[in-house]
Amino acid sequence: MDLNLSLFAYGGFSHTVEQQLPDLNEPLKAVSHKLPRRSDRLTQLCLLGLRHTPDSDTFEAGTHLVLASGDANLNSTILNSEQIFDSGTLPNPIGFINTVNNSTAYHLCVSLGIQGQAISVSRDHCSLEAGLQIAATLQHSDPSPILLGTVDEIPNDPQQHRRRLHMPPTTPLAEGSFWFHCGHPQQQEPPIATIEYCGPMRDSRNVGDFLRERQISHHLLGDLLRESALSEIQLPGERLVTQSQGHYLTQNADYLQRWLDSARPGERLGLLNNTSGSKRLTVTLILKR
Amino acid sequence: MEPTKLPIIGYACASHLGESLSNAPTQTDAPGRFGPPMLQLESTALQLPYYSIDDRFDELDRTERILFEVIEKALLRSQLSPAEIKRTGLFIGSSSYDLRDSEIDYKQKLVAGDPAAVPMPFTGYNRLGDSICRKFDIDSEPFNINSACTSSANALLLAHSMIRQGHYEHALVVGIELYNETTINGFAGLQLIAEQRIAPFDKSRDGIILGESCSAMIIGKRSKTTPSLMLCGGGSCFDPYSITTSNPDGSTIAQTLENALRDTAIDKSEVVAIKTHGTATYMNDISESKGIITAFPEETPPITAIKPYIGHTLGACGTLELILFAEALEQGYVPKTPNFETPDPELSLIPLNEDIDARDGVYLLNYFGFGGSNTVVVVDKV
Repeated sequence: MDLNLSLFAYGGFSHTVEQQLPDLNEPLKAVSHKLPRRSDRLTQLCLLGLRHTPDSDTFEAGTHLVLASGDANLNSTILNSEQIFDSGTLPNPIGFINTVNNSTAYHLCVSLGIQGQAISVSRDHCSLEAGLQIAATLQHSDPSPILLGTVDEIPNDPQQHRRRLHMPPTTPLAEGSFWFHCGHPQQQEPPIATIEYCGPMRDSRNVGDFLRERQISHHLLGDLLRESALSEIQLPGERLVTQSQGHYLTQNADYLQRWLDSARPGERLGLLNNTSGSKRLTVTLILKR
Repeated sequence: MEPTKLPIIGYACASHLGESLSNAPTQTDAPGRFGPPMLQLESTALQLPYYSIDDRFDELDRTERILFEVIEKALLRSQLSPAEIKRTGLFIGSSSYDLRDSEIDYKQKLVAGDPAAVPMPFTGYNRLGDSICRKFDIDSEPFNINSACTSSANALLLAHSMIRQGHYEHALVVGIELYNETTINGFAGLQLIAEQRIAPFDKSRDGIILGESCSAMIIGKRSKTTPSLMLCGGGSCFDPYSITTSNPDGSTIAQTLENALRDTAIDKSEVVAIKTHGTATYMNDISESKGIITAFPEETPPITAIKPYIGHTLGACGTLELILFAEALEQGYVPKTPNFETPDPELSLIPLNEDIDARDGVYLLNYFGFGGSNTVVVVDKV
């Protein structure tokens, strides 16, 4: 899928979670946007991510929001389940509303003062890729700016979450939120980078030829691919060694931003990723301007 | 860019009424009796009405059984070849996805005293999409859209845009919402559940009754048969007024209708009728009726509501209500709104009391959801 999606600014943050969830109250004091009442951790992580993204103080009213998340409002849904099945009580109304994935998008749009479309999408480890594809589709039908965010949270009980994921009790977990200002190339200043392509590739044996034809300078493997058969294959371009902060479904947004930090104009990254249930690769090509 | 109007080339659904609104009981059922079996909810001892597909709620493979059966039927009707199916885009809209599977696993382990019991053992929204891709040999990766009650309507509009931009030749759009206790308990906690019936725009309304459904629709650049319904696209509008309701002055809903007509280049005079969101909550009736009148100040098209037939199927209502509406149009009628008896003096609109003939032309389908999500889908009966 050829995207031709322009990136104008980016930023975000993430942290590793050991035994206790890091408290967000202190860092949230530095957030310039009004913190929504009754918002959940997912919304708070998004606002913290935006705080680390340049040019995120004001937005055009027509800005669209695309929010990509692997697990979305997991913590709110867990709390609801516990109330229903463990306590035998009705869920707290606000807690129930927060189980709806787009409640986060709602709170963000209100906080940021934007009223374009608000789309929440999920695709496991490839949620960023789904968000990029949607942003590109919006870009081609509407000249308004697009704010694309990724976010994933760790639930209140990290140890229980490791059991949920069948992980050893010392496995690092991570959470965070990364953002990209996207928009129509004719509407704004020169882009920092262009997302040229993003699409699935059923036969991974063809990926080398594909990347060679596209003249990539670097490639990186998503978290699920680092120990796969693909990691044994000689692929074109320099392989980037990624430093995972812990299990975190949208961590590839962090990897992509780190590459953007260091890439020179004209360099091209091939980001290879997949989901836990699929044998297909998703290939994303990014050109640094 | 491909043409704006794309043929709807196949669909299927499972709902309380099966695949047609004409399956509704008519003669023998008194108003208010129309509806589903009463369910006993073990966890909270609540008794609430619910529009179910069947009563096999605790079957472990229920999600995939219903999902695969519906998709298989829709694909068969579309006459897509295996190669075309392989290339089709996959768009799913739901507010709960496979939440029921997590609930059943957790509940069973809790009852058994299994120390491995954890709430929400299955995380993420991608399991259904992966299952569909494996089962039907689809090469693309799914778009799992969650915008509450507009989820599958937004999935449909996204699919429409991506086909128009040449990313896909065809798209399979799935809406699914199966019985789960999180949702029904959540709505009970919000005190939005009606006691007996859904009566949109009626003075005696007292809320929604939830329902479950699974529906699949295939749209494409072209159809192998003569299509009777074209998807023109639609419009959306974010509403900052409240996380649970549209602005009661109707302004955002009017704007959504205007956006849909503008983006599809449809003139108001072409609109034959409007399928309302029609949840039968006071706030929805107020905001939706004002919104429609604001958008159509001179001549308001006939309006109707489908939820009294099949319940509010939340994220799945986008594709389900379009399919049931399309089926009715195909049979030659615009369905009436059951349970409407007493006009509400606060509203200036009255829904259809009787079925009317479905003439060719444009029909609008309204969908509004939690989280400020408003969407209008536009179809053309040809």
